[in-house]
Amino acid sequence: MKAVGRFLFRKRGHGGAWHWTDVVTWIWLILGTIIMFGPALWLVSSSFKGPAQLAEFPPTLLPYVQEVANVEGHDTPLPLYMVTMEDGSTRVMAEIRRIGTSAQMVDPADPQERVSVPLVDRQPLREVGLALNNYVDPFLAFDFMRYLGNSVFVTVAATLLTLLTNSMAAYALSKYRFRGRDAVMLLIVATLMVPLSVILVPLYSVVSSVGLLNSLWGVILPTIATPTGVFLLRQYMLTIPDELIEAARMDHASEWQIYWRIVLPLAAPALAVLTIFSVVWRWNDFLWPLIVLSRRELYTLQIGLNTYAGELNVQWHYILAMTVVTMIPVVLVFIFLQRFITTGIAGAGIK
Amino acid sequence: MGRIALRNIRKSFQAVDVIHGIELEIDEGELVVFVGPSGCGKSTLLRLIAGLDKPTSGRIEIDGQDVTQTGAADRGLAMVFQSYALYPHMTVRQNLSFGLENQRMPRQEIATRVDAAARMLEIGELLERRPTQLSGGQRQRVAIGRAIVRNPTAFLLDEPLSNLDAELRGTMRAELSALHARLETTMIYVTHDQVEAMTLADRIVVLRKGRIEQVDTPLNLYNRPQNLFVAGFIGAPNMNFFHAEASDGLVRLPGGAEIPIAHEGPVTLGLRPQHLRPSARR
Amino acid sequence: MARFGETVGRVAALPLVLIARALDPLLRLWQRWTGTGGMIAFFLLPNMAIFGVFVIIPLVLNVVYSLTGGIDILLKDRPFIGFDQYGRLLECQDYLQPTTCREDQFWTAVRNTALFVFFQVSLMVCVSMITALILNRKIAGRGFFRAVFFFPVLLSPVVVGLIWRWILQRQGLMNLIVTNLGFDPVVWLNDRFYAFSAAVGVSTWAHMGFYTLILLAGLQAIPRDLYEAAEMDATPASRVFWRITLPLLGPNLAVVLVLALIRGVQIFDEAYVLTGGGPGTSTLFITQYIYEVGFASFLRNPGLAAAASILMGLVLVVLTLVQLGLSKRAEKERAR
Repeated sequence: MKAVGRFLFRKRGHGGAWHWTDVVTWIWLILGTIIMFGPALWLVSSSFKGPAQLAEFPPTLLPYVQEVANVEGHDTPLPLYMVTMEDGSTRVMAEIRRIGTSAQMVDPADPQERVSVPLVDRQPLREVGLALNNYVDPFLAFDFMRYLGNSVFVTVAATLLTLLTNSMAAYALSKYRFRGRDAVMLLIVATLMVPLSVILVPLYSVVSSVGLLNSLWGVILPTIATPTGVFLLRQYMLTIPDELIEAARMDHASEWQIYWRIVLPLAAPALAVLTIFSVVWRWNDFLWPLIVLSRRELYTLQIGLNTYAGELNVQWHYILAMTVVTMIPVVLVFIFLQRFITTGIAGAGIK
Repeated sequence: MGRIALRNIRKSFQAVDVIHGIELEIDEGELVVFVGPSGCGKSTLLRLIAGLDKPTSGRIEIDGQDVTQTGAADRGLAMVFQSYALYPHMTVRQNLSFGLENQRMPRQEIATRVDAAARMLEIGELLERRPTQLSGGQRQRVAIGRAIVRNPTAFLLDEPLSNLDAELRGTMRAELSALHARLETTMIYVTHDQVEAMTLADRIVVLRKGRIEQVDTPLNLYNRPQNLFVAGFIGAPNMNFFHAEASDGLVRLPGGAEIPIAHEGPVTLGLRPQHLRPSARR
Repeated sequence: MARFGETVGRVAALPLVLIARALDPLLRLWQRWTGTGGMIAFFLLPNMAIFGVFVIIPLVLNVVYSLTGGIDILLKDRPFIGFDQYGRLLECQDYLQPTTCREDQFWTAVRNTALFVFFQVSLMVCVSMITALILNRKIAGRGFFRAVFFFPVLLSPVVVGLIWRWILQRQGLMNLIVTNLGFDPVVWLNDRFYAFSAAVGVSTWAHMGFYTLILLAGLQAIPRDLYEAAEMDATPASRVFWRITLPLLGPNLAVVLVLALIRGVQIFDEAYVLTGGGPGTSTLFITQYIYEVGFASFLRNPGLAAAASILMGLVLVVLTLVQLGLSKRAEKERAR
């Protein structure tokens, strides 16, 4: 145990002394964890609060739900409050209705006797509870189910196509020598310099003229030829020994078969990294779908979320819940696959 | 100046014990060589003396002072790394001056020391070059120069010649020996090459698996090895071993020779190839 | 778990495998007709076709667009007006005062973007540098902390914008902290200065993890024994940083700086969701300007938007060329 402690608190100082760099290190790391994770956790916690609770200030840490009780003589459960009586004692009472600055309340055990209590003397009785409606309603009443489906479709289709086209191009660029190769590479590098915002207007016009405006395919197709993906895969394919390919050729394999049955399986680790990137990129896409889609039922989650959040009367309890839903796939990727991402970026990012 | 003592030094990494209870005293001005097969802990021991790692238990004393808790920076030692560890973005002169600048030495004195070391090591023309523009041998000299300018209590050298080709190694060995004679400073030298050890050392510390097998002058190690390992390790080609039986105070060899020995029972006989001579007799 | 994933993968891949197998005879035929060259073309075609149709052609068209006028989006309905759009954009009495310009919104956006890039990139590179230095040390749970800082990078800009919009509400978490520290609550998103600062801060929060990783990789490429030699030389920590770490990290740092600049100039998504360009036009950035002038606003003018986007594109081209040059130099340094 002592060894664990010594390991955890390894310091630059000597003889167990705290060097100033050690103090800064631990403060930074702890503060960093709070700042990086905190907002997302706050989002989740807030998403389970009902609209009334969301309007409170100061906000509470955990979501609370007001306790209710069934009282004889009333059809619906009545909310419970902690009431301070005139004699100073406190009682738990249920509220029937509010009239002006006082409330009509009853003791749940003695429903006949109605007492009028000034609003200031009562505190809602609360327990930790989740307002699950926040999550359910948007799917049932609003179109979020549809938005979710659109996002999933776009992400899956785009990723599959990205993997296919990028790997084919990477294969051609890594395993063949041909006259225009450098020109093609240069062209791909050039496209790196052309972000969406620079070609927004004409791209819209092009997509419109091929009839893909206002369709999910119009969202998908322009995004699948990623230069990063081609470079990533090419870099990896370069390490596949040429002898394997030559041996396959001698075995009368067609070029297509070589690509499909030898190179592609061997490039699996790089494909995995690109899959993760592509899933995250396509799921998170915003500007392009915003422009291409004007029919509400085609909106992806991101667009739908933004639209509802841009209304005059923002219903935060729904928005927060849907934001959490939008966040979930990426969080899953993060939890299970983050090691791939960080190594993938460290490798590709230096290029 | 330059007396180093190790008292009951132990070192473990996580659960693995690497150094077991080493006791050693090094005299002022000695050239002591740590030698042994790879994994024996010689480099680890050197790093403990340098202060780059801390012993798990035990004491390290320099000139009578306990420096076990002192940082590497404050022990007054200088180290020549196996990879030389020259700062690639600085010129040779800057590499040599760097440590002295940390001590806030006046610029004039730094320049004097740097020039003196450069003269001693014949790298004067290389002072404005970068390490990447130097050959292996030149880099090695710069690494040594960096250690010399600090006027350390002792030099620590971690396999300094292992990255050089064989011919250069021989030349550098002679130069290191000359350098030691000239500076008269304690040197602790780590190598896996026993030929280097035998030619350079005043005393050799033979290490195996974190323990000292024997500490002695090269000649004594050669002529009076205290155990089988030292006997087999020192000397090239290696000593030949035979199993034999001793009875009645004698060991009988096939061929009739008899060797008196104060031991009964199975023995291992060691014979150096150098001591064999062709003979006409059958 | 891995086994399950494997079987699912195999089942899911089945239709693809069948299609691929079906394609083989056709492609063999193609290969026989056209040889290797034909196959190379086949492999390159899908990707390059997409590039061509959705990147190269629009790039060329963009120039054409910028020379036309009118509000129609279809090129054929647009009259050719030469460099008028550029003239309009660049017509200014005092370039530092957006209100004296004909297209004041454009110049406001340019000024906002320039200020944003200056502050955000400086802040982010510093923060990333410190974090990378800290993560380079031998501490327990290094992998965990590396992931911690990288987490926000994965979040979608809409999610980022909404999380922070929620926190920066007048009755949100930020003001709770602020009031607990004894200050008055701040109207974060309705004040010109604070909204801009929020955009800078949120953008830094969302992206610093990425650059931290790149810098970390650069730091780890510096051999450990250089630090040990410096330790033997009794070098204080700050000197180690300025004289050893920073110079050796130089090329890497330059690449990170330019990458951050390139991304910074294009700022849109999370800022748009956070502030929508407001209050007023205090957080209007150039990409949003292009979006609004090209599509969203009442008085849209695709030609003007095209011209603006070309100007922005020129800036980006310069930055990207610089970045490629620095990248090459960084690789050469490492190879030495």
